[in-house]
Amino acid sequence: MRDRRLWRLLWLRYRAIIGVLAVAGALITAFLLRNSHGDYVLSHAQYLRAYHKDPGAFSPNYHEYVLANKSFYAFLHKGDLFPMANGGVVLSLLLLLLSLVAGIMIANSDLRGGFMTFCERAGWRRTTFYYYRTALFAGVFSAIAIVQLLVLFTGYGVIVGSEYVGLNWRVAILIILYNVVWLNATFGLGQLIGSVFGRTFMASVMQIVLVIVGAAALDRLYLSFSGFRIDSPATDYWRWLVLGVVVLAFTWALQGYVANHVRLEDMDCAFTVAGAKVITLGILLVAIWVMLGVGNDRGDITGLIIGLVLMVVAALLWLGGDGLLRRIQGAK
Amino acid sequence: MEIKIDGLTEKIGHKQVLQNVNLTWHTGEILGLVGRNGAGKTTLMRTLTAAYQPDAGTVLLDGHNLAKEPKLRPHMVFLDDGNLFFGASRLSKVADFYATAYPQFARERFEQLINKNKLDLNATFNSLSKGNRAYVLVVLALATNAEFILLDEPFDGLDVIVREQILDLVIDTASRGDRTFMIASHNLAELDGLADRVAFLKHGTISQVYTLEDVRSTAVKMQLVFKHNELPDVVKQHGRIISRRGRVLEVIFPEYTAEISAALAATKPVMAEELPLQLTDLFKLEYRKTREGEIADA
Repeated sequence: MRDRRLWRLLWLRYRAIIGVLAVAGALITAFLLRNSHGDYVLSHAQYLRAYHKDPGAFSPNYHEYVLANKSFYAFLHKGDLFPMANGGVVLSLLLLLLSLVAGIMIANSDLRGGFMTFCERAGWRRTTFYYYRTALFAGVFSAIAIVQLLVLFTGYGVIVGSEYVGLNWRVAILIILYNVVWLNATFGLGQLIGSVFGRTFMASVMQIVLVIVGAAALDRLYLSFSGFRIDSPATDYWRWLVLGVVVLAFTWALQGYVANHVRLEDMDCAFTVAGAKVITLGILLVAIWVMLGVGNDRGDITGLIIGLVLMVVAALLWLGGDGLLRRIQGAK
Repeated sequence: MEIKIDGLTEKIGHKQVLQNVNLTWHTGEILGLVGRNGAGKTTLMRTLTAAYQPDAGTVLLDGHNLAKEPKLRPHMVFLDDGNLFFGASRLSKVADFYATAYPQFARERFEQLINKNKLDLNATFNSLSKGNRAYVLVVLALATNAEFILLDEPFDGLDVIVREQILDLVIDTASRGDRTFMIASHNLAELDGLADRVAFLKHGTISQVYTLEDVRSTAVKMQLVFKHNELPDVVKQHGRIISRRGRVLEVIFPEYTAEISAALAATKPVMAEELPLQLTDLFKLEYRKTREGEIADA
């Protein structure tokens, strides 16, 4: 990671994108901060204050309080799109989504525009390029996450009063660490999705649709789990950090594999390459799973709708992609 | 310096585009790459320059395998118009990219050549006309100071002025003797006066490599008209018919000797006129199906 020439090249290429990401990060921070006010503030410390308990102590009853209210961090109801957003300070889901979409778009844009090829022609290996690009954006998202968390910690302290802030510095570092790990993992996942599909416009549209519908489906699935919490610094934060590290290692390894073994040059012809087919199969399975959950709540057909949309996306990807692309190319 | 292409094979999708391509390319020469549409010229250039990973074969630079020693790749430059990530950038920023990527990039020369054509360094690449874009790409390639320069259809769709500008740049650079060009072009007339050697790409492989001066020293192109439709034996045995309009034949004799000349005279043709042998004729010889139904393989 000491190739200054490649760093400089990446900076030249991505400085505008990095600027946009910084602004987006700032807007998300401002949004969260603005909405972490008054009745919406939910934190361990507030819970303690509300029930006149000792500041800084941890109470298992806190979970019940969390479930009945809204999130401090992402300002979203438990049971909405982001059910895991409850709790004092957890993963920044909006930033996670941003990093995933950024990963997809940047990887796809580099494939289409030929920047990766440009770097390869100038003497760098594809693997090197992948790792440098990942490291650059990992750094960017880490910086955004750290700034965001520091701002939120500070804002939180100002709103509820510093005497009620139950976080010690070790937990704060842990929270920052697992946010950084997860942001980098989602960016890596985005890069993979942006790479294994083709570089056509249709492929880009498909990828974005895939992420949005997939996120909705996962959310739907998530509701079926019980006992999921990211509230307790002592146990849940560590668990999420370890899981994040595993996902991160997996995405890095997979990126190495894609860089060395996936024939990216073939993707002008079709985007239903092997990697895409695996993902498509995954979506189909998820769709079936989601649809199996229909009828749990009386009159609720959300699962059915999500399942059907997922199946249409999968069918388009698997069956329609090649034919559609050939038709578009043939029409030129 | 020398680039040796050894057994290069590339399959894209389900199509075998390149099949066992072998070619040697020396410093100081201009090599024309000729082939029909879809023959694989661009794919060959992309495979040579790392855009594609070959299924088999090697590209050696002075014996060093470029796949294993990618740091040597900047000795070769290819401005691929399918890879213009910098389209929305100003020319000055495009130069920044190349100056960073290619350590030998001559920024002054780049700016000098851009100014010579009265182009604005603050203009974005996409805002330029097609001709000016082609000119900028060639200037970028030259400014990298790479020893091996690949140009894909550099004269395609350009007006005479821009075409001459690009030709002048190529000739000026090549005359220094330390730069080498591979030019893929459909414009055979342009290549004719430019290329030292011409490689024909056919069915995914290099079918022939001609040194034009050598060919011209031995081959002769004749326009012949005979009294009867029956072809004389000398034409059948030694000639290759590249065109036939009525009884007017255009025939190339690859090894034209005094004996052939005498045998031809003995047939008492109605007309026998020697014509200048062009690259176009070699192209026809290589690719055209003759009236006799034979594939004109050399």
